[in-house]
Amino acid sequence: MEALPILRTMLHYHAAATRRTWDLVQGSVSEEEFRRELDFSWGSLRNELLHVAFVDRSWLALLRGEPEPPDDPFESFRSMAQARAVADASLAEVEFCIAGLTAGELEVALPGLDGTRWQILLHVANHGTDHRGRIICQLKALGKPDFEQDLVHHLRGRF
Amino acid sequence: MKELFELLAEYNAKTNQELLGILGAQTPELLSRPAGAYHGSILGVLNHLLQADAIWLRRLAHQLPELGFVPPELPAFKVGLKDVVWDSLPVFQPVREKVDELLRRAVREMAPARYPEILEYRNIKGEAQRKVIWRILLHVFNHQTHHRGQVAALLDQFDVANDYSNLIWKF
Repeated sequence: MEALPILRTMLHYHAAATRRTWDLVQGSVSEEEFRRELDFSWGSLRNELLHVAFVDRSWLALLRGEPEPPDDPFESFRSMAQARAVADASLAEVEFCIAGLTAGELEVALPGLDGTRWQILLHVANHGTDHRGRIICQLKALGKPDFEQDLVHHLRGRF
Repeated sequence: MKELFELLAEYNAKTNQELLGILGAQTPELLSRPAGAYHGSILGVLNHLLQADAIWLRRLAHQLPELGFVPPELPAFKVGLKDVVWDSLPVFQPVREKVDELLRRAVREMAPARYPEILEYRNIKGEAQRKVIWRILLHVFNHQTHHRGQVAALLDQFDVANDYSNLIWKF
């Protein structure tokens, strides 16, 4: 059993669950609620969702051997659509990365980084799961609907 | 890929230990405080996770003889995924630690040849189910991360510092 299908599964799930979270937010939250300061880790839905996107694109840049892109201040994102565009771009990068991955590359330890490529990609997926758990709590605090996030539900129909 | 699951099992146990350390410094009232979360309170979320892990371990052990050490070690409880079975941290913590150790040992004992096999089991409604074992392992650890994220959000709400979740910085 190779690591590649396992990582592909986790990263596809990460991309799908994150998009679904964005869809839910855009379909149920007002622009004011999106920016509203709440007692949660990054302060607002906007900040929490952008944090995930910024972390994803930073790790992917480092995996390509490129410098991390600078994070724009959260406050500069005045609308959900503007923030969503950044998230969509970073998720597209995740999917591009998955599509091009080979088994041999996964074991490579990356200079200057604490870990091999597979460990970093596993971290990216795990980080997204952690923050979607927080976001669901934020949505509940705002009285909004949620969706079933379990990986086994994502994989339903594929055993 | 055994190394990946071993890393997840180690990360899981270590992160739960860090979380338990944070919770041990809180009042019992805070852990049981209704917080509008999916399982009512921090202790409610943690009970849900512990029940789910024990259920998955029992299903795996039922089919895989090399996990025969698991069932005698599992806590006995009446399944109710929204129930609080372990109603205080001193009662909950040793069971959590035991189950985390069982997860680590189960991953260690399970040969990679098992990963693509199909686990056949009945869900809590009694319906027959079939799932690939490596996907179940991924789900178990991902499920824990998801709910620990919820606990982190509740701790934030209660103004309790917490920073236990990042996988990459732990190893």
